[in-house]
Amino acid sequence: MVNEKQLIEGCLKQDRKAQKILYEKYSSVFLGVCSRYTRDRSEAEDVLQEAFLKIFTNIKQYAGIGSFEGWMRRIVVNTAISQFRQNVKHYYQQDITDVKESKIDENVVIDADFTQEELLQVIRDLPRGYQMVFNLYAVEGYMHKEIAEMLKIDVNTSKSQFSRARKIIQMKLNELSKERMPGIILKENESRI
Amino acid sequence: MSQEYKEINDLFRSSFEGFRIEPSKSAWSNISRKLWLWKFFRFSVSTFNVYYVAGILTATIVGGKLMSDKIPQTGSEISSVKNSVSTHSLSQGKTAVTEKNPNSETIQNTITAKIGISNEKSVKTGNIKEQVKGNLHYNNSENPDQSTSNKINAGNIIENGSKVMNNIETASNEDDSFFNDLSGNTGNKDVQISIPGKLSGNIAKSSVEQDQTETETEKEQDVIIYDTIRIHVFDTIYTYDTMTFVPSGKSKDKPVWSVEAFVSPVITSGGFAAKSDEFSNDLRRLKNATSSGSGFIAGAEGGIQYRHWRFNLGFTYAKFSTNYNDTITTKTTDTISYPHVTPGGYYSTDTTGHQWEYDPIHHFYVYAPVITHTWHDTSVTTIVHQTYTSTNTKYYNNLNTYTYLEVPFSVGYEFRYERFSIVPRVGGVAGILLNAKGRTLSFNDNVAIIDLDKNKLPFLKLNWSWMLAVELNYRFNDRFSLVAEPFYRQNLNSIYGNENPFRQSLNSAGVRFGIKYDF
Repeated sequence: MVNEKQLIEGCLKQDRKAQKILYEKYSSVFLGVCSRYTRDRSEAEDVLQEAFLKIFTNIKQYAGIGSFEGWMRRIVVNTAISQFRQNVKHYYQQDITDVKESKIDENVVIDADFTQEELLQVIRDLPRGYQMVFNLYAVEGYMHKEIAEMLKIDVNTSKSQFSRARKIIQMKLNELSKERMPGIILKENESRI
Repeated sequence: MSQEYKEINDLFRSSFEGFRIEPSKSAWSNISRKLWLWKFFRFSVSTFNVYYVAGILTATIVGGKLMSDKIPQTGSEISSVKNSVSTHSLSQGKTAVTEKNPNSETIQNTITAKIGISNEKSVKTGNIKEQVKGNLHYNNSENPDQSTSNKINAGNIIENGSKVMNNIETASNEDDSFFNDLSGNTGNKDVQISIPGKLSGNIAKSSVEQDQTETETEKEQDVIIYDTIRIHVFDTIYTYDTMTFVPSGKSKDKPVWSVEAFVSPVITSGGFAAKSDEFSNDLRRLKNATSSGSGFIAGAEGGIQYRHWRFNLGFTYAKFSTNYNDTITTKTTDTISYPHVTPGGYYSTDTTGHQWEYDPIHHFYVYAPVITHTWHDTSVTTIVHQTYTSTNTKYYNNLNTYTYLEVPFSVGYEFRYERFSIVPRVGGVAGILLNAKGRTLSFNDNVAIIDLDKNKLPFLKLNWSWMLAVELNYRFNDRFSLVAEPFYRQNLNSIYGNENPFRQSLNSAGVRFGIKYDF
């Protein structure tokens, strides 16, 4: 069994076999990450391929300090952000429209177990900017200041987009709960996820 | 952060922890292809990349240029020379064409349609004068003494008032010197026609109205053209002398230089042989484990052809691989003996050693077997033997790659039929090992498969092979040919050094595809 150190050494030598082993080990995990930042599987795979290319061609920059998987994960996330920023003009109009159409009802209670696929779809249905902020804040654990720097937006924009994203998510999860359990009792001013 | 926020964050964070989606099968091949491109456009000594391609092309062009400079002028610059002549003197030629001399019509028409008159090097404007009477004289710049003596020679163009006749050779009906002069390039000939075969004697008749015995002193003014006048038949430039197979326009007695750039996919087999019986079992395993691989060769060759014979020398970048698939099962037997067993403790000896444990009776540390139960006996004389057998199976699926910078050389014999030619070739290849990757067998202690150490490769630096090839050549114009060449190469030596107890030969076969340029 090849350990991580050997894999890194192999990748440093541009050994295709080591690269493939590394890819097979982490590709499914990172495609899961990419999926959260993209609209569909095809786009997610594009980001994944781009990210692995960056990993293999910049592996010398990994200093050996800290988690190798964490280093790769940052590259994957940054690649997704780069792709988002490249298409930011395209997404902008859509975001505004979605915001206007979003009617946030907070007076519902969510009482259901959601599958990963359902949650993924909820994130993917968010306006693109919200999707990025929500992922970075809620799932990756970045601070709003870091997110603002990464996305080149204002800190307050990051905060407001996260707030709106959360409300949209809450609304969609409640809708999902209603579909599953039509007889559910909704309590006002209580949210239980 | 409110409780609600935390709950949403936690929900997504926990749900996506370990979230996996299997990528499509094509994803890796796309990454692999992009990595290859990235590697190709990045300089590295040990990999074939765009810089090698640029180097090969540069070497080809520079080599070709150098070789072409050394080749005697053969009339290759047909079109440019033709233009220059048209500017200066074809007004005379055109007049000649319109000449209605029934005897000269054939050759004159040929000249109009197919012949360009080239005056190499030194057509001097002004040397050809209008309203010239007399002969167009040949001036041999290398041998001025012969200039006047060749005044009535092949290629003389005589203008007689308004009539211009092409007095290519007044003596053509008399002997064979005409044809020699036309197709050859010897002596002081000032006309070269690259048309093989027969020319009508009508040429001579075209000058019937001109006094052929006219001497130089009779002429009022001569047009002097320096060096040679060459006439090429463009339509027949690609035809070949059926006897010599030498392209027309090129002297059969002169060597033809060429360069060729090529690439060839190859399949490789690595043949093993033992130097002694000592390792026959290992050799058998090696043979069974090794299967054919693949690779490629890319490079350029320069060549010189004299009549049918072709000599080639070049540089190539070659990468070969062999597959190695092996399964090694190792059985380990571990016997543990308990020579003394006393109440309250135990100690043991075993063949491999386990952890030490303290014997409270004898007050020292002993080996302790790794067993799942507590062993206890009051007898001090019992000896217990316990045997553990473990089986370890390892699968090796490995691709060994070898990178060489090679110098191929060969000699061939050309058979030509119109635009096609076949050149069986035999030669050798000297290969300098640049790099090798993969695994090999080590015989230091036990037979074991080890990774190749880049700094301590067990292979010879210089590798010799012999080569057999059949070049199939299609000439699609006067200069360029497409080449497809099946070949087989076999090592003359083992790629391993002499200290290894077995031999391995990297034999390969493939088809080389190239483009060849003749100067």
